[in-house]
Amino acid sequence: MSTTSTTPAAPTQKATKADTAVPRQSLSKLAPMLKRNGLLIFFALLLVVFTIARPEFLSQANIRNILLSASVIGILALGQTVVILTGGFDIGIAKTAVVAGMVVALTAGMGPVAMVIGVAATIVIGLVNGILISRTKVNPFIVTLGMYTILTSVALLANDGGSVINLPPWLLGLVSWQFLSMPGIVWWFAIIAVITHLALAYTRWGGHIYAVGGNEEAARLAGIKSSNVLASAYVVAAVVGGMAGVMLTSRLGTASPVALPAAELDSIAAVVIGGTKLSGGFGSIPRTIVGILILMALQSGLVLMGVNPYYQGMFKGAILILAVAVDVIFGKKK
Amino acid sequence: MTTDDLPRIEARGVTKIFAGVPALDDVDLTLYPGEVVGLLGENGAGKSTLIKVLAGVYIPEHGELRVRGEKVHFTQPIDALARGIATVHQHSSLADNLTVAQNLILGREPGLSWLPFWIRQKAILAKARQITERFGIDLPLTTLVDDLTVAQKQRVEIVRAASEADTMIILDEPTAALNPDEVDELFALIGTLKAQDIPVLYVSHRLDEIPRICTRVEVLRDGRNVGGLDREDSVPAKIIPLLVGRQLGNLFPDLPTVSEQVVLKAEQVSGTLLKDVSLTVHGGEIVGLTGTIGAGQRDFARIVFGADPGAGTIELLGTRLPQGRPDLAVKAGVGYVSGDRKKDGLFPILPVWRNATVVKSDALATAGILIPARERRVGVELIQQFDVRTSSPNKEIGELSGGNQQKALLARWAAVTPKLLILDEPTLGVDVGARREIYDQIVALAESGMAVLLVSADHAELQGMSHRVLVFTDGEVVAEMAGHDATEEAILHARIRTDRKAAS
Repeated sequence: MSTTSTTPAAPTQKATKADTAVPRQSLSKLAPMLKRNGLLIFFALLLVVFTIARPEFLSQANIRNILLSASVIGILALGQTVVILTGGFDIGIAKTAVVAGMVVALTAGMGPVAMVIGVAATIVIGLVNGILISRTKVNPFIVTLGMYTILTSVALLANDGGSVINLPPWLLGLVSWQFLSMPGIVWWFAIIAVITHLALAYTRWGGHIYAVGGNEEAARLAGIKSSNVLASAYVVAAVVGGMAGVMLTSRLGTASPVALPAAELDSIAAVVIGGTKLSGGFGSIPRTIVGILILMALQSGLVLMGVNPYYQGMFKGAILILAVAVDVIFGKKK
Repeated sequence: MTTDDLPRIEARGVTKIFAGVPALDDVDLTLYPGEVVGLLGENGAGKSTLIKVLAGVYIPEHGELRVRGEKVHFTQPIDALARGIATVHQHSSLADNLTVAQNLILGREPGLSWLPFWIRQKAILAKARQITERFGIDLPLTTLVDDLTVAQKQRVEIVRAASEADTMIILDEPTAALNPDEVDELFALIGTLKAQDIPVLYVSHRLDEIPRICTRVEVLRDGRNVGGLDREDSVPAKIIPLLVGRQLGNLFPDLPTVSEQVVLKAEQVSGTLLKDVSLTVHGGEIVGLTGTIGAGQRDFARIVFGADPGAGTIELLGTRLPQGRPDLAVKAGVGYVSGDRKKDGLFPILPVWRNATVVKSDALATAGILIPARERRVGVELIQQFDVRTSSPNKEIGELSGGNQQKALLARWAAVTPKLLILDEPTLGVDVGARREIYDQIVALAESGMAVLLVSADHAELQGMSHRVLVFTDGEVVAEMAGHDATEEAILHARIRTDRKAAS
């Protein structure tokens, strides 16, 4: 298989299984093949169904639309993937984005140095999460839920409950460009995705994230500083999440303290639909990207088919549960 | 007693085969009312298999079981319990969040006669009190189990077992976690059961306890009955020859030559359990550390590696190792194959190759960047070199057999050529064929000047694989002997000697 060398760690493991399979037994080969590529097959099926129902689904305008809507939540999901790979999650990631957006908007008058302040703010948030979770062993759900609640307050306090408007041109210019007729924010999503993917699949740190997620104590006894790796995951998630907030602010031309409602849950949904295991140690950025695209394609397809938008939640929720159920039911080899 | 001639439980010709190898081969066991029978045997002799057959966990291939003269077929544990056979395991199976009284009658809560699902705490307490009064045992009924000591929990378990099982009670290594005073209390409790005519099957490896509590003993070796002894004869001197007798054969390779170089120098190492242990190990030397579970041998190994915090000085090739920092120990050249590979050795869902490269990967990275294909190539080479048998290097390691998992873990450390390798039970759950391969690899590594600490409870392994053996009791080294002198008998005697000393 030619794809082997370019795919990341975890998918490599799946992809090359075909090398060792006995070729003749086509039927018994089909099941593992389905299991391996089920996600992509499902995505392709979704595209085919929507395209048949509504040919304009695959129009350039609609693809652009899907990618645009996938970008901000998508960046959140990238950060979320890193912590989920360690076996935790970050409930406060969307609020981190909102706070980062507010901080950058409020300090934007100082010029691009505002970005440094924004990143510093997210590093502090990530460090608090990471240190509490890795040193005190308080459950990640509790720590990040607490952080979520605190940040909700912080966002409101930042500008006395109001949105920040009249942003300087440099901030608006972050995403106001186009390239190959794709909006800047989509490219930012792509760039951040490539960087996080490379970091996870091609660095020592990435390997350690998988090891800590697979078995934290074994990682410690293999000479890995497990608690530092764990803490770093929350810092990376907060910084990446913060970027989503800045991108959103730039795109909307305003920073709202109540932006991105329930986006943290959508980000977890995207990661899970992508097949990354909540227990940690298995998953990847490409999976998360397919996950977010499935969610957004579904949303767009339903709109195009004229389905009452009130039904959207039902479909999204059903697919989330289905994705995990299929994994659990067919994932066990015994 | 009127029913003395009718055995409470009788097992005849029990045979249980695992993967073609008989774990039990034509084993008999009979218990009469009021007996306390000690069931003895080495690791792997078939003790636990026999207990599991009696408790309905395993279904034997051949043989029959009779309870009070009546033939029975157990297909699941509940069948055995229904016939009044209860097992008290080493590890607590109580609900920590409930009180002692609630635990005693768990699943048998008394409801109101006209409202059976309505349970009152008062009725629970009253019923629990009936039980404790019947056995004449005092238990803190209203205390949460979570607040009890290990010994108290065990008492609750035994009383619960006795209240629901009047045919026989199996006690599996009941004294493993108890201090001497608590052992006395346990024996008093067993005495109470005996007076109630309930037979007890007492599984233990502490030979010194046997004459104190058992009315007779049954010894198993390699899945067979090798003899029974009456109470008067149940002394270590007569039991040990029955237990031992296994041929060492050629399971072990020749030991490597020991060099002059001091690799490990540990002085006055102490921990929560460990008291001032000092040890010097030379290049190429394999030092066995043994003792009962929790005697300190494992703690010593873990403190040397930095897995647990401890005090004292530990020097590797003259350089002091910091405490509690496994990451720095690894950098300095210490390797550690943990004693519980599932808990803290393997990354079960990661591929085999990655499990082998996880330590080496730091050296493979350039400025933090690590090409997966390159790492995988190294992993595959390690897998081949250590003969890890897997259908694919990409397979999740959790799916491999114990022996192959262990070979991959050994490869993980061999890949970085450590100066000191700590092996904790390296062949636990490993079949004989893979065992020899693991021993060969250990010797090959030691030949190149590496020092080895071998924590093991397997006497044959200690004897065949160590230059020296240190015997631990209660956190101290109580005996040191040459490897070839470290027979099971010698180790047992060393332990018993100090037990007696401590008792007097």
